[in-house]
Formats: sequence, structure tokens, C-alpha cells
Amino acid sequence: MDLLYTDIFLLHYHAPKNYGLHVPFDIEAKGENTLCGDSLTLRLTFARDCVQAISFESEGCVISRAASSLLFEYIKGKNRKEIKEFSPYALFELLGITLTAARIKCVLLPLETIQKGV
Amino acid sequence: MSYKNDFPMFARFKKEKKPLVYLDSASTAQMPQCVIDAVREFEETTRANVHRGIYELSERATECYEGARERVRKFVNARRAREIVFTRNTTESINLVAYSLTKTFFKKGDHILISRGEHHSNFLPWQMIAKEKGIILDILELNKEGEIAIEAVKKALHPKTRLAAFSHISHVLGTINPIEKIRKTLRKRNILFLVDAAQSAGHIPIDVQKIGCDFLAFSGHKMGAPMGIGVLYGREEIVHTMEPFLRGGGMIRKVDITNTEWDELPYKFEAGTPNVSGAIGLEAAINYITSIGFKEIRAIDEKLTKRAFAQLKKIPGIHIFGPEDPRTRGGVISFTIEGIHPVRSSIHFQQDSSHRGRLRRITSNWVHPHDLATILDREGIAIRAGHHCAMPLMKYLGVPAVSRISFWVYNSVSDIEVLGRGIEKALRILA
Repeated sequence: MDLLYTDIFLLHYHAPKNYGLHVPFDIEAKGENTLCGDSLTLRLTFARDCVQAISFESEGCVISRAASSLLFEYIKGKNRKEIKEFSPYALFELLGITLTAARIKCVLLPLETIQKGV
Repeated sequence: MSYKNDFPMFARFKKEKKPLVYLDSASTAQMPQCVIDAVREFEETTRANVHRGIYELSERATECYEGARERVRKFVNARRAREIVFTRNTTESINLVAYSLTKTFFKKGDHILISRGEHHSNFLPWQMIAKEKGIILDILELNKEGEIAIEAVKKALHPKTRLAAFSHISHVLGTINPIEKIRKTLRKRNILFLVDAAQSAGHIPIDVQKIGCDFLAFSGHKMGAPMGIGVLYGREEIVHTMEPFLRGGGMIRKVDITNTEWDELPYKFEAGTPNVSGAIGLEAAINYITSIGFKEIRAIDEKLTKRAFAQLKKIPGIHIFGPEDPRTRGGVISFTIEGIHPVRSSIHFQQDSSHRGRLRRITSNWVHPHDLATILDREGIAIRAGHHCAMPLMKYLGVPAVSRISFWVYNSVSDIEVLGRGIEKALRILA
């Protein structure tokens, strides 16, 4: 079932998990979709090679913020290699949504930003 | 009278059984059956290359193609058919002019004037030649209403301004620019004038002699013709001195190893096999438009604009760009909606496992146009959302993107009502 704009998805938009940038942190990464004005800042803290804490703030559409919330919650505890190898297809499966081609970039913003960061 | 039945799209396309409410004609208009039939008739009975074959079919195809050119000439009231060049679209028409004028006309240090509101297609070709040739590109700011004010034009002109290029109707703000008055100012100073008529062709009458412009560009696909056929009108006195844009088949008089003599107008600008069936389709689209009449088309645009303003203004937090008076604008309306919204969400969240504990609600300062467009799409409503190929204008408006609705002859008041209900639904989800 397509979960886009359903309760669970919207909950992660209106009340995203891990929202509000934390200090201290080990790595900060920023991402931007200039075409639609979406922007994202995320901070990561590592314990050995695994993500121990994650926080983010973003401006943008429902899809990019909800995807950030869902993805970053999932990514906690994962190591760098697992994050780097996480594919867009795995992300679509995690989110449970189908998107038109024009909006795929909205969900790729958090994935690309975290992969750039780690 | 409803023209919806003239367009097979509305009978064929359904969004999960919901009828199509098409509000993106400023991007591409739907095609009436008579145009589809004309293209098909040509392909089935007359298809051959033009200006080349000695056989009957080629001659008939050539006659059809030149007949379409004559129809376009009459449509824009050009003096001669050779002032009509077929291109792919407005973008190609403007690129043709920009590229060709750099060869013989512009010199380093010359100025070109365009406005803040131009589509990228009337922006990037000039930016390109400015960079390459050392030309200065001056940007005219719009007034409060989003119009190109005549006084501002006078102020923005430089002694070395050699060309000005403005849109006839703004594709974002909907404003109809006073191009005839602008022309008068430019003529006194001998400045070439290009009009981007992409949004006006098919909506209001175009008379190139009355406007007095040197160039005028428009696309067929925004006025019911197929995609891939466009027009450049070029005043003969100017274009006969210009160099070809593309080189290849069909545009020469004589070729030897080192030198080439170009063919006469307009063929020197139509290198390669042209889009003949597209031209036939454009002729049919013009015939369709003429059969309805601009008085009627304009009345539809004005009625729907007025109705849409009334409907949209009911939405709390909405900001509509451009002037409100439907008499001063085309059927194009752009808007944004603020996110902190008094319409409270009717959705009661079911908490999922990851959301135990206290919820902190993050407010957004606006409803993202892409979300609005996606939700409306699910209701069968097609609107445009984004930067509209006008990023300098978006910067001026202070937003990265806007939502836009636009009309043509098939739209009705009920489309606006469906839109209103769709937006209410979207806001219940998003607010």
C-alpha cells in the first residue's frame, strides 16, 4: 500500500524524529535541492564505527522531511559501510511509498546527504 | 458553450475514474480532435519531403507546408510569408535570433535589455551571448503589480542598448505587458525589439505590424498544435541580413568546397527536414482558434480568472501574485500558501512504534507547492508547481517555487470549484 500522505507518513512530517540539531557531534553534513528550495542539515555522533546519535533540521516539502525522519531513525546503530551501501530502492521500501519521477529527488536528499557525510 | 468535447483527452484520460481537470495550459495546451485529424490526414495521404522531390507527392507536401506558413502569416498579420520561420518552439526561435545577431550585429560593449520576469528561454540565450561577446545584459525590475512599466523601460535604456526582449504575457504573473507602448520608446532610439509571445498566442490577437516588433516568437503546443512546431516572425529588413543559425540540407542556393550561398528567406533559417506535419497541425490549430474567435477565448480567460481569484482568496494564508483585474492579465495565476494555517488538520494521528513519548510539532512556514501539486494530482487536477523556468523571478518573489493554474478554452467554472475542494483537502492533510 502506498503510504504517501497517510497518517504515519504525515506524522513524521509534522513531528519528525531526531529533529533539532544537537551538540556535540562528530560530523555535520548539509544538502540542498536548489530546484525546489529544500535544504537539510544533519549531525552525526559515532561510537566506534556506528551511528550513535543523529539530529537534523530541514526546510522543504512533506516528502523530504518525513523521509529524513524515517531514514535517520532507521540508520541509528548502522555502521558507515551499511550507510554507504544503503540503496535508493531500499529507501523506497523502507518508506513504503511510490513516487512520480519528478519527486524522487525529494526522498534522495536525506540519503545523499548522509552518504556524503559518513 | 463548452469546448471540452472538442478535446479527446478529456474522454480518454481518467485519474482513478476521476475526470481530468487540466489547469496547466500555460505549459502545454491539449490538442483538439480537428488538429489530430489534420496531422493524421497529412501523414496518411500527403507525407513526403518538402522542397526536394520532383514527384507529385512531394509537391503536394510542399504546398501544404507553405499553405501553413501563409496561414501563420495571416494569423500574426505579417506583411510577407517569408517573414515566418518555422522552428521547434519559442526557445529555439529566441536562440536563433540571439545566435545569429552575434555573428553580424552585436559588438563588444553593446547592451541588451530584458526583464526580471522572463522565462529562461528569453534569458539564457542573451546571457550566453553576453558572456561570449562581452555584451552587457541589463535586467529591468518589474513594478509592484509585476508589470513592465514604460517609465522603467525609459530609465533602464543605455545609449548602447541595441536590443530589448520582453514577454507579451508573463508566464508566472499573468500580466499583459504594454508592448506597443514599449515599442514606441524603443523605436525612437533605433533599438531592436523581440517579443516572447509564448503565452499570448492562442489567447489574445497578435498583430506584428501593430506591435511594430522586429521579432516575435511563439510555440504551437501552447495553442493546440503538436509539440515541436514553433514560429519566429522576423521583420524582413532585419532578418535578410542575418546569418543562418543551423546549417545543413535545404537552406542553400549553391555549395562548393569552401563557400556557400544561402537560400532566400525564410529557408536559410530552416536547415534540415522541417516538422511538416507539425506545421499542418499548427495551421489546423489556428483555424480552430479562429473558428472560436479571440473575443470568446478572451471572455473565457477573463471569466475563469475572475472566478479563480474569488475562489482562491477564500483560502487563509494564500498569496496571489500579479494584478487582480482580469482585464489586465491573461489566464495564468500563480500563488503560494502560508503553512501556519487556521484550518486545523482533521487527521488524528495514530502513533506508530517509533513515536512513543511526547510529540514535538514542527511548523512549516508554507505549504510546499510540490506537495500541493502531488495531492491535487491524486484528485485528477493537473497544476504546475516549481520555479517555472524563471529562477531570477522566484528570487525576486522571495520563494523557491510557486503553484500555478492556467486556462484555455476547455476549462470551465466547475474546474475551479473542483480545484477549490482539492486545495481544501490538501490543506487538511498538510496544515
